[in-house]
Amino acid sequence: MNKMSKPVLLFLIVGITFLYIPLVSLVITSFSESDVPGVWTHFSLKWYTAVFQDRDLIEAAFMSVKIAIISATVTVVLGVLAAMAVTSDDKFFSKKLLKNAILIPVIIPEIIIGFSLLMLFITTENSIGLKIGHGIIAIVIGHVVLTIPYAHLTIKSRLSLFDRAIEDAAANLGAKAFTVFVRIKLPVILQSIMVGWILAFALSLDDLVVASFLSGPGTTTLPILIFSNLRIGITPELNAFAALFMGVVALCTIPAFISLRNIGKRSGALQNSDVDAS
Amino acid sequence: MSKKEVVAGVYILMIFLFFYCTSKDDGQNIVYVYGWHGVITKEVMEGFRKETGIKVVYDVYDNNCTLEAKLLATNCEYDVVFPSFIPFAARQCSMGVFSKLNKSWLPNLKNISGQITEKYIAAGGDIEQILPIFWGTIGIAYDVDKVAAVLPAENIDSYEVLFDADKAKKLSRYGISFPEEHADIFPQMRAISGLPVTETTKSQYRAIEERFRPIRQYIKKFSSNSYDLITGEVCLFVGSSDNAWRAQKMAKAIKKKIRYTVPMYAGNIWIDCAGIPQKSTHKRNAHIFLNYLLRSDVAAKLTNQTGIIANVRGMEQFLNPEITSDPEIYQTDTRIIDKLVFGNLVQSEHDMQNERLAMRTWAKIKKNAIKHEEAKNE
Repeated sequence: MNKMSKPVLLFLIVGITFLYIPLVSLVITSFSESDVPGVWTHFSLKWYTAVFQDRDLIEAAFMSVKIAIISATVTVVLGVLAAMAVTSDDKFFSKKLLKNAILIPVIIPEIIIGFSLLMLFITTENSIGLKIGHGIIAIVIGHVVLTIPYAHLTIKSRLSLFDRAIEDAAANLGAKAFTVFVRIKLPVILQSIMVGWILAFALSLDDLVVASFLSGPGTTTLPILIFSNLRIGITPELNAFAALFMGVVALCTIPAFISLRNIGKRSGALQNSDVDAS
Repeated sequence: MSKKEVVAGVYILMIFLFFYCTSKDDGQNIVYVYGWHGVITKEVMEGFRKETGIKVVYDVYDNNCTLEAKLLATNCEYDVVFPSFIPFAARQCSMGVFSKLNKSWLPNLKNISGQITEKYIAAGGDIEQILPIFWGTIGIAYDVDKVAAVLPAENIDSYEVLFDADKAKKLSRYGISFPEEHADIFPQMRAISGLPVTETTKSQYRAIEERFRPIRQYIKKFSSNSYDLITGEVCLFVGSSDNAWRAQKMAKAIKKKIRYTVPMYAGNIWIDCAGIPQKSTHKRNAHIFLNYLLRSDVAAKLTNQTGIIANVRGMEQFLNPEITSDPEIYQTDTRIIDKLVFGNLVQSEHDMQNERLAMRTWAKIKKNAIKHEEAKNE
């Protein structure tokens, strides 16, 4: 590896410090005994026990994770279908429309997405009696709208690089379209599906605006809870909770990254051996 | 695995997801409450469940506008909500978003009479629909030692200290904080400037602007979070009594002394109401819950834990000395309460214009644009 020049190294250090100092200080102060957040008295795990006793916080966190998992899964399924439609050779009437329309949520402010969905649900309830109301379904729909462009883009870009000749070869050998998809296309785009899923999951977990429009009885998500906490002032409990949450996320993502890297290595090796064989 | 199996699997998964999402504990024994974070404490909810077998599902919002959006969206499924009286609940009442209370289900309604309730009714509150259940004042909270260091001879008991340029300059060494919302400060401004409270005109707002002109440069921030008193970012905070109470409680831990005072003749009162939305599906449970909150021992428990005073008679005997020993927070002086003023009522078109004017004036003061305009005029 090339040695980095000193200015570049300095830049790197400043950049990383800037990004991570807030997180590090948050984790450190979460171990303080003080009742006032950000003030260090002495070491204690008091606030961690407080987190585990705070049912509201844990329930809200589980609610957020549940919504994020459901909406990321739905997003990825729709994203794959849309990507296949957009990259296919078939010419259909609304292809161009679909291609552009699916990206529109990126440029629409979240608050408008939330508000328009709220209005839509009221209208459907009043006109045709379809009751979506407020609650998990409404939030999931909102989050799918919010996250689908990101998942769709990652999957589409991988799919458009896909070599059509392989598909044709498989079809020539008698594979049905469905088998071609499951046995050939899906393994190739699996990585981008996972990336799309993680993106959608993170965006959904993070969302406050859409959720506060669409939440209903019993569906307070974590961002809503933390925001409403600010009115009565923050407690070090939130520090401890944030530290725990980061820990859990790290524990979940590190294996994912390792496995992704392995897949990457393997497919790299596979390509190399292909080259050798030829 | 054949295509049909996969398709069937996907369908089953989707149906399962749908039912999983829609499955709520829809038994009779539930009540959906929507309020500020921490206003109804866990102990009270737990006590309610033990006593009645009804589970409280408590959701939170971060501001009154979120609640109002849901109430006006016609399909609000919550059973009990806690909007602030002025301007929110006052106008929501006239829009008919609340259902009429059934008094035979609320035997404890008798507890909710007294001076605050009289003030509430006089200001246009409708006790048939929403109950004035919590209240507090807006006053001045300050760090005793720091203020004594810069103004040793001063006794902070009125806004005059703040609107005196010399004194404000001295205080600004440690920082002054004003409320974020104009509704929390303009009523007092009218009172101290001798302006009529009921009628509001353009010239009135000019007068308020004039009061701020000499001291605006000494105001460090506009915030409703008393936490700045603890970190030492400001030494004087204009805000609500429950915020001040929390700051006092925290200050004890780090050996600071914070005092809260409601200036005589220039205090602002706020009331949080409790109401049952029209579309509520558990109206009976909602009444039982409200009735429980109106019980004097429960109300005292809430007051002890939050510093927000419940407007319930007969709770004095259950209160902690921590609350009752501070007459500024637990205000009982009828003369002071009598003088407390409400924020602007926004119901008619005239009120709307007024509100816009107030918002613009406050934005101008906050942006520190008073000076520039003066320069332009000259």
